[in-house]
Amino acid sequence: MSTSKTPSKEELLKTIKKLENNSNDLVGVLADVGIVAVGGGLGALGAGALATAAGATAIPVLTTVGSWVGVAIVGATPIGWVVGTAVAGGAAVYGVSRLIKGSGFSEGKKQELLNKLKERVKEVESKQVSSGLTEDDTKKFILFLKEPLEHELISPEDVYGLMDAVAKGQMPLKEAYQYVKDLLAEAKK
Amino acid sequence: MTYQIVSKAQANLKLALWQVEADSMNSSDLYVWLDSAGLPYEVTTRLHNLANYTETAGNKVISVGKIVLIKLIEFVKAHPNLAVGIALGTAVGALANSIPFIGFLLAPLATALGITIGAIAGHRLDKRAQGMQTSSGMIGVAEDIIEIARSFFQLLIDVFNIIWQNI
Repeated sequence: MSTSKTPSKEELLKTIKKLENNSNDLVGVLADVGIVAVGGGLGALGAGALATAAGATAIPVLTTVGSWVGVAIVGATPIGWVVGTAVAGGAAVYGVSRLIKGSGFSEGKKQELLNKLKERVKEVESKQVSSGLTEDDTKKFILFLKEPLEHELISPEDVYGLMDAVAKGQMPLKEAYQYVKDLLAEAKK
Repeated sequence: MTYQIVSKAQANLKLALWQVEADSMNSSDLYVWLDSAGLPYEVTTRLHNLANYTETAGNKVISVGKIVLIKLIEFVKAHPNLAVGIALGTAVGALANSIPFIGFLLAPLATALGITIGAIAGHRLDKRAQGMQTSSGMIGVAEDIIEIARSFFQLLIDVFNIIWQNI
């Protein structure tokens, strides 16, 4: 993850909608939210370690507080560095309890989504065996995230993280589906 | 903000996303940052060594140390007006106390960072929690920093403790 700001739920839904309408331009659409996708269905390969660090954020260090504890500190550290999303530790979970309760999400809807997921997992599994996964499969996964996101079963930040990881080929599609499936299965217990 | 991870699935997903982040960050980049932060050599080396620590979860190897290190750096970056040594000291202290299985890794670091102030402040926070009186002043500031660190790392602490509850 190389961006410092996670798009909002609305921005992500807009992106997914764009993807629905503009079916052939996965790379272009994702670029709008700061995800540099890797083409050619790399998502299936889970080829980790893609150097994503870019941009530069200086880390200004004030010495005032340091002085009273005697910590040696340099003035500033202007170094090109991106430490991933502004997940910012604790601030990140987007009120999970609220997500789990969801909004307007019925048991029937959940079952429908879970069934869809099972089908997709099967498809991805068989394609993975034959190395037949394509960019289209990545796109289908991203489109699938729309409903859980709309119903607030998954946080925008996690959706963004998943989109980013899958598009860059850092997480295998099958694994990504599994995480979403587990989340849905646990929702509204 | 006190968010609580409520499910294992949520924790698994978070951990997977952090692992992706850790995979995309190479060890020498982390070292460059540490080196340029002006920390004592011992601290830099210990922090960098931390990056090699892994744990297994299910059938996956998780770069626990690297994830912790990235979060520490995020914490320092999120508080630019706080001296690096103090930010790291309180963060390391908060993590060592809250995640049992990485405590042994972080303890020498905490010593190297000299978190005496943090320790006193932590003690006073505990006292206050028990309804005892404490005074304000410089230690009061340190108490605030500890509270900030705890809330920043709450998600990491919750996730780790859910995934590795038996370590």
